[in-house]
Amino acid sequence: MTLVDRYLRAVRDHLPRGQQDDIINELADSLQSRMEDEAATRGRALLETEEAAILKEFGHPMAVAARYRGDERSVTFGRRLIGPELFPTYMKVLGVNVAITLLIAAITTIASLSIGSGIAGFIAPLAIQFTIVTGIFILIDRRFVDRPDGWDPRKVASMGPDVDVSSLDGIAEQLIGKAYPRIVPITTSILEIGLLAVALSVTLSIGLPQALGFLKPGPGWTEVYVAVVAVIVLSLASPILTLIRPTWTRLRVAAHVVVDAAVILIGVVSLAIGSWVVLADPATATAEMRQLADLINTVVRWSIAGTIVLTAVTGALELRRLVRLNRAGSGVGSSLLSGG
Amino acid sequence: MVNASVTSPDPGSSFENLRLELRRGALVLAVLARLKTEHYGYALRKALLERGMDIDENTLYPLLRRLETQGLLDSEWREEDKRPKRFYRLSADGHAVLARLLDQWTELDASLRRIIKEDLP
Repeated sequence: MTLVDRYLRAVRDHLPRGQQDDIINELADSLQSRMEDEAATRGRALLETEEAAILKEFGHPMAVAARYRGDERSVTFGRRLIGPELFPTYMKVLGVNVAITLLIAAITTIASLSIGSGIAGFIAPLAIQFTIVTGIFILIDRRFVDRPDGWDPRKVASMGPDVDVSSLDGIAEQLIGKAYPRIVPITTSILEIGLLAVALSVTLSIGLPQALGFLKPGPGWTEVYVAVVAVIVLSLASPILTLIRPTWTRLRVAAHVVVDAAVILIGVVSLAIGSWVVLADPATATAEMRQLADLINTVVRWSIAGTIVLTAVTGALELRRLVRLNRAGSGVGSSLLSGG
Repeated sequence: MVNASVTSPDPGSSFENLRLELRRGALVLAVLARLKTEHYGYALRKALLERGMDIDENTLYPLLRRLETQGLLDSEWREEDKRPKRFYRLSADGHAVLARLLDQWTELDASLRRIIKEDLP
């Protein structure tokens, strides 16, 4: 793929569906004509650096696409926070993340049969999602405003039509549609960061208390606690990497495989140890207390078993994808960093 | 979402904003006038540049699409130099609108000249 092809593909990522082919064909002709004129003036074919200079003068793909959308909406608070170039992407990412968060909250509410806990349960994730999405877009916009020329056409990344990040992509793709390939991984990455942030805060808040009423954490939890925290932190690396380097598909898929393997290992170890809650004072415990402890341990055991099975399935799919990506990449000698 | 500005006026940016505002209408007029003859985008840009009207691609192409949506231009894809190109020309409505706009331009120009002349010492 040439420099111009990659640039046009990146512009295309940000164009509205239905106009993409038309606009890209016209821009392609314009760029080609300009480069031919430049080559004729110099009496030789253009060097890559000269082509890059023309593309840079043409403008950042996001800025070029924004002119066609004619959408001037932005987020301002005294000064510009998120400009019109990023605003449509911001709204879509925020919308999908909020929708998925609400969906998860609704399922939690139904499962817990408690509207109160359901509402309480989704306010925090919703606030976290909103803060993370808005914060990330403000940072991207700041970079865009502070350094409008701080981009290199040779490093422009297009997501392409076949890039995915995780199983969440399928849901996001259904909600957003395939017309905006760049938005899908951004959405799922931020959603993943939000969900993992919630998981991490819950894990850290449970911590290793001495006792919770008449119960205290058993060895099934305490022995794997540090590993659980480590895996959640490790899991955060993948969506963060996606935001920074969206085209490093193979490294991302490999990270998912490693995390899935770690989750399975921790699950198996935890199952082998058993006893996730134990009685704080067995000598004074009543029969009801013992029954409740047994019930909790049974529920946790089956939950962990289910998690292991689900993770094994998603891990196997990710592994298959990694093998395919490696096979496709080995023919052209590409590295682990390149995409599929 | 709040849309407000608390930034102090900067003479440089004020001039730039006013200049762009002034230019915007003139660009439309120049594009419509030039498209009495059929052109594709890149050739139109060059033709305008040769006549002292520099307009970058990111302004010209969206403008052409907007004018076409408004029914002032017609366009068609044709192959030239072994490449598909989109050719634009003024539509019947475009001709009528251009004539009225040119009248307005002449009136404005005359008025402005009178106003500026009166203010001169």
